Amino acid sequence: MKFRHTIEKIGKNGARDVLNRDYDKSELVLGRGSASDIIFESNLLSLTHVKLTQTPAGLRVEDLGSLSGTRVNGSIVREATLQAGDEIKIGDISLTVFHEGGLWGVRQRMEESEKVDTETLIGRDLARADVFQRLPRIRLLSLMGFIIVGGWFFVLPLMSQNKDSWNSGPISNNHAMIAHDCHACHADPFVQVQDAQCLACHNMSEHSEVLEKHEGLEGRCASCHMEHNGDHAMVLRDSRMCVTCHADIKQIHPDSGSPNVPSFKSHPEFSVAIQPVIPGGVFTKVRLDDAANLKDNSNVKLNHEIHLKTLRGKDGPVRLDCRDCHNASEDLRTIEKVNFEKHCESCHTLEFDDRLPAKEVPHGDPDVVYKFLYAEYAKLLLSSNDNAQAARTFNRFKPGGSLAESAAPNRQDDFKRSFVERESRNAERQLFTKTACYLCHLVVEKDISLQQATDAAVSRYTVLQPQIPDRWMPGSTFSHKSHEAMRCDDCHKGVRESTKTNQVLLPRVEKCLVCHNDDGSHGMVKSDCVMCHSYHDEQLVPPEAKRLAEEILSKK
Amino acid sequence: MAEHFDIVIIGAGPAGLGAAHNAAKNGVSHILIEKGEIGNTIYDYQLRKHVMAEPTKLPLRGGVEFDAGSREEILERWNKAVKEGNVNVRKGEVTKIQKAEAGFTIEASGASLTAKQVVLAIGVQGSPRKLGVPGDDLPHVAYTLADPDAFQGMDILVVGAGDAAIENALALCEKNKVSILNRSGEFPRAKEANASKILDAIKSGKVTCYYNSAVAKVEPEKVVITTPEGDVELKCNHIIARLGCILPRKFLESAGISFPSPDPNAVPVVDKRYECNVKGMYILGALIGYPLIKHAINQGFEVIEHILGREVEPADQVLVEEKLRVLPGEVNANLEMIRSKLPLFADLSDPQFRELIIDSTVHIKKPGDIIFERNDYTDSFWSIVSGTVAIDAGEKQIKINAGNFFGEMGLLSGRRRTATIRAAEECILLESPRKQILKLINSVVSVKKALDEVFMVRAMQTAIFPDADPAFLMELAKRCKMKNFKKGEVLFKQGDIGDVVYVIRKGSVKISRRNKAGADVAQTYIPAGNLVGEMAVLQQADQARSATVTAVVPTETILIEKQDFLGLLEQNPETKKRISLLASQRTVENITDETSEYTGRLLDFMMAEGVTDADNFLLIDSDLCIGCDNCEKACAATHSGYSRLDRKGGKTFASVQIPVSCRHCENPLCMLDCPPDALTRMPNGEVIIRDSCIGCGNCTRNCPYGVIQLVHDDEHGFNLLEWLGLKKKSSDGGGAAKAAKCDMCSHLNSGPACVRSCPTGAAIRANPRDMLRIVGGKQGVRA
Amino acid sequence: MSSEESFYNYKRYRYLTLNALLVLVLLIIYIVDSPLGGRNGGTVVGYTYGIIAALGILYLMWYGVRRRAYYSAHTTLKGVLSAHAWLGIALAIIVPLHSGFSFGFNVHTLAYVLMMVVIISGVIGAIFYVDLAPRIRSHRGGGTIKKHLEQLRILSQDIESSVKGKSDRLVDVMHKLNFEYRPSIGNSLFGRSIKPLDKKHVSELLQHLSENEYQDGLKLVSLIDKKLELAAEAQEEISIMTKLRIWLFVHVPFTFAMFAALLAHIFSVFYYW
Repeated sequence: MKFRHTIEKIGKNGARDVLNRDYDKSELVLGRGSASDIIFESNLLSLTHVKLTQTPAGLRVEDLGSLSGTRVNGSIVREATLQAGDEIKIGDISLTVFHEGGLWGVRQRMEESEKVDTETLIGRDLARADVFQRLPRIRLLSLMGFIIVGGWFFVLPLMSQNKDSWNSGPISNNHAMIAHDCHACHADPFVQVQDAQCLACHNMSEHSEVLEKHEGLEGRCASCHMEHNGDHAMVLRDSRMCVTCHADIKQIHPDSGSPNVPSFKSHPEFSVAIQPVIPGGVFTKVRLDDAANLKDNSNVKLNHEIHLKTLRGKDGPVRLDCRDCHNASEDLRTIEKVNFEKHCESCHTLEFDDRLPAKEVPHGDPDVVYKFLYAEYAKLLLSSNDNAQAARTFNRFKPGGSLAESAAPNRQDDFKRSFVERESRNAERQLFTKTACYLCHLVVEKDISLQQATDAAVSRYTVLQPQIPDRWMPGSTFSHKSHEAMRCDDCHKGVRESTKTNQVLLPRVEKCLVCHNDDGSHGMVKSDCVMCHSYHDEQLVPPEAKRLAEEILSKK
Repeated sequence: MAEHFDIVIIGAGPAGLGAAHNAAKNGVSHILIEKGEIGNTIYDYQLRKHVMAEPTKLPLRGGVEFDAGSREEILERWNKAVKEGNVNVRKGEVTKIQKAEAGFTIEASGASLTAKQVVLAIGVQGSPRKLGVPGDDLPHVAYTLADPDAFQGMDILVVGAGDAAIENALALCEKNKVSILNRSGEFPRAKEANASKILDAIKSGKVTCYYNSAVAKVEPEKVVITTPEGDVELKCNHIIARLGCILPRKFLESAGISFPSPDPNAVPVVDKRYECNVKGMYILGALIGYPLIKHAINQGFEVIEHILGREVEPADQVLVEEKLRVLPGEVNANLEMIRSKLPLFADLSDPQFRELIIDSTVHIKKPGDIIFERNDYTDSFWSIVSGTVAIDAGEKQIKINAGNFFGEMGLLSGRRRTATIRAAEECILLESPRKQILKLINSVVSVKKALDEVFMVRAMQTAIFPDADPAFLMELAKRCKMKNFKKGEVLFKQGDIGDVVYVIRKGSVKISRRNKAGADVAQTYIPAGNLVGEMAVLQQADQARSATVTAVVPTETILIEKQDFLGLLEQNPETKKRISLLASQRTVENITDETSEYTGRLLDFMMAEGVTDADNFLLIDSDLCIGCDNCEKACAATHSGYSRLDRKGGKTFASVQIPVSCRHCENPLCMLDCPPDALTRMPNGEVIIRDSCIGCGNCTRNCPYGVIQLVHDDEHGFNLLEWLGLKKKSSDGGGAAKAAKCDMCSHLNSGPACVRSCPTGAAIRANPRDMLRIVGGKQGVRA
Repeated sequence: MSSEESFYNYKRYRYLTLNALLVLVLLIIYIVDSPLGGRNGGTVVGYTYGIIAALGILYLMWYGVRRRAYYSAHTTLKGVLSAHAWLGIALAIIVPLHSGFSFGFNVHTLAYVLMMVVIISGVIGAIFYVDLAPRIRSHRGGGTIKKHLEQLRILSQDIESSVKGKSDRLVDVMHKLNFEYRPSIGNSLFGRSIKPLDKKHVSELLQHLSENEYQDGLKLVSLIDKKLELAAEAQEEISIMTKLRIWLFVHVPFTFAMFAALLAHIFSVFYYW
């Protein structure tokens, strides 16, 4: 019986031409080899791949042991019976079974693949191998690169307020609050930070009138205070800034008094501010090696030697130490001035009368002391009224006075006032000349008029104004904190043997040079001028800088 | 009854149009017969081809306008001229012209005409070369292909191997079963692109190709072709033969016109009135050697004036006057005087002689003036009208008197001058460009014979016998023969019996010997102007050749028989000594320097690439070259947008590559036939193409290394999108296509731009020694 | 290596010595100088080195113009490229000296980073130029990539047709050994290298063949070997050609990015002086 094999060729433009091949064999072998009845040109098929036989039950398909197998409706089968519409797939060939009018057959659809000659195929391979055809051209990438970076880091910051990307370094903490606004310091574009911007907030001396004379040096604030480096470079710790002028100060400031200081090693002897003999005068600057003038005119008498021995304290022997009096400030940057109440009173009490055991006169101006005494004795008097012992002394009758007068109040008053006066003057004298004041102070008796003598508020004595200097070396700062490890008399030599107060017991410069030198070599401490001195010397603030500062501040 | 016209003009090319237009203007009864379209040759150009108006300085005569422009513009103008000048045109192919007693009878596609005068202006293109086999006139044989799409699903045979045949085969094979017939083994003459396309089509089976075969017989639905494997019968229902075109010599001879020489490119001789040997028949244009359009139009105008008996000054009279202005006295008299004084040009026809004068320049030299010096690269041909000239080559002084000529060595394609020439006394000289003389050599037999003999004498004189007396040499020259060898052809093989001596007049040869392993190793090469094969001839007894000599480039040699050679040697003992010294020195050389096989291969490569005698060629060191093509970009940038260098082409030896770019050869083949003589050599050696190039493409075909291309100026405006690569580059490619090749950046003072802009220094302008050094350096071969 | 002088050893390393000298001098000055406030871009030395570096960068960018200026009369591109390369490397040292090695997350350091990317890609490019050039096969007449692909395609067709009409066993061998070579940039640049057939597997496969088909099997294997070899060659050629130009796609765009950053740097430094 007949069997038909139709081949449908679908052309690229949809043209369909059908080719029918009829075989009248009962069994048909499909395959690649010439032994097969229907030959398919495909390497995926075996020589004899599959056999089709027409049976009453349907079209039986039998795989002849092909390598790539036979699929019926998708699944691999050894052999199966097919009906019209089933699909046989051998290799890459798919056949649909049809059974029309008693005629069995298979239909094969062939898409006419696009007939391409080798030239274009090679061209496609080449294109795939050529990376540069798919990449945008270098010029385009460059333009984009330029625009992206330029826009992001140039135009955007320029236009917007957010200039972070231009920020060349972290702002120091002190300026944190104005860090976001560049124009706070950089007022005018393309102009360096001018001092005016700094002075807007800082009231620093200009030190400029010195520098104006020497145009070579750039005296801008910003040349020493370098912002954008975090905190560490805010103050430039480089001695050369000072040495460039101070090495030969006469060149810069002809009538300058200070000696030339080329380096720390050749630092001149320290100088201290000696108080004027008569208080209120002018402090004089005396070098520590100028023994003749080196006197502590502090008008206070203190004998270190005694105080440093074991002393007889209120409750037993007491061994004093420096810090007991010279109580250093919390950060040890300054030493507190000796203070009577805090340091001396515990031993030198200002009691003046056994009758008033806990009473001490205030440590202050003699008139105030006398007024206190006067008041105390008045109180004493009043409190003795209601206690006989006190009255007794007061009721003695004065011969020749009339009873009547003695009973009269003013005689009472007169008696009270003269008692109080007498007692206070007596106590005053006791205090000022015997028991207390004269110990430390230079007491001078005043010849006061009678009227003043009876004045309840005028003391007979006056104390020479004590002049304990806050800081012996006002021009510099010294941190006792960093010298904590040393003993006081390492530097303040001779304090244990010092009996006179006017001895100035301060360390000389070579003392410091033991541990300090300029460059920190040989394990020494690197010391620059800024360590002790400050460039901004408040006293030297020229008036017009102040005026300018106030003007800016007033504007703010 | 035959229609009668006074003048029948055949061929509506520029010449025919010029004549017909002038005849119509003068009211003469005329008819213009044209088998194709008006301006036939131009019509067949492909679309928008740019047509030149050379020679520019020649004035245009007659009513037919013509100027450089595109094909369409010219055709439109000519059709307008025909309509307005009410020229009587008729379509038809003239098959026979018969001289009758009163005039001529002409058969033209069925109609027969009679005429008093006939003007033949059918040009050359009109007659393609026929198959020349029985049945080649059957209807299904065609010689042109109008519209490839007209053929669907047919069997077509294309005969021919040129560009036209290939283009037709490629166009047809899309929809038809095409086979192509090629006489030779490959497609040498076709352009590179076409050759590779057809080879690809053959490989992919779209076109079947029969090599080394020809058409035997054509029958209606069948064709028989002879192939190396015997005759094959092909079913084919259409044949297209594109075998180029030839001068319709047979047709002209059938009309009674005689040709001066059997040489295929000989042209019929015509007198001043363009009348050929047949009275009343005039021939114009390409048929008499004037391919340029302007000449043809002028000739058309003049021939009618002559027929009407009006004395007309030839169009170029004004040019002749200008050339002869330097001479005192009347122009025509001077013209005759010059003609009489120069026997060499005696046989020239009037137009030919006038054209020679127009192209040449007349000089008046005072005694002692130097005309040209040794080693100059000038190549013009000098004839002495009056006075004498002295050659001092070496110590002797040779005098040449009036009527003779000198400087002919320059004709050997631009060789350097071999001697300095000085004017011995006051003399008048005619300097003609090389191109003109070569054209005359091809068309005038006497000129060719005379010059050949002189070449031989001169060659022998300079190469071998400087002291032999010229008369004897002239005598010998008559007996010697000239023999040309194609590239790669062997002059003689090692071991043959030596019986003849070769004097190399042009080109160069390679000497190679078999080394121990039997391989034929190249040893050295011998440039033009030398002697080869003398060793075996020196002894009386027969002797075997000691080496094989093969021509490296197309070479022209002069053969001297053994006896003549020995006779000559007897005559000049001093030369004999020199020759035998040379021979012995060569024998020593043969034995001692057993050059390594490697250098041999290197020499072979250099010879194949034609760089042995070039002294300045581009070489690329492959160890340095990164393929960035900056050299090509530089070349394009400095030469109006088109690179004269193709780095990717070219062959490689070891790691040295010779790209496709001009070698400025010692004897450039491109100079052979350049119609406007645009190819010349600059003073310091570069071969350049001048602006007068008309883009005919001869040089592109002649150059064996394919370094010359036809190019449009590609000046390209700046376009931002294109620059960014976002838009495809649009090339307008307008303007005329001209030949272009490397000119060594002679217009720049910076030297070659390609070498200067190579980032890694791979591109090097080198001479053979450099190449040996570079290649040697890599392989340890001594330079 | 080629005996001919290339761009790096132009005139016996003239530009290497010049640039080395420049860097040395600048280094010495940098070390000797200890400006107030430490070394930074704003000191005298900082400004000078900044100007030197900026001019250097302009000169380096000018190379793009010079490469396309084919009319130059005095300098050769090889010399200019040599100067370009060595100055580029020198800049990598000069710029940190200019800034006193101060870096941070800002446009100033971005300019430096971009410059370093450009310099490194430049050095890679130079190494490719020197190292890969001799290995380009197509220059040695070894056939261009196009020829390789053509031959590969023809070989594939031959392999297919060699098994037409042969036994299933042989077809199976073909399917097992044959491969489809798809040239792509991925596998050629960093892809898996094409390994030749391993002998054991092949001989094993060939055992199954029947006696008379053994020869066909051998022929098939030789064809596939040839195809592998060609594919490897093509792949290497493609990777070389790609490498020779791919670095430019980093070098040039980053140059312009760096240029923009440089402009921003210079402007911002003086705008907020």
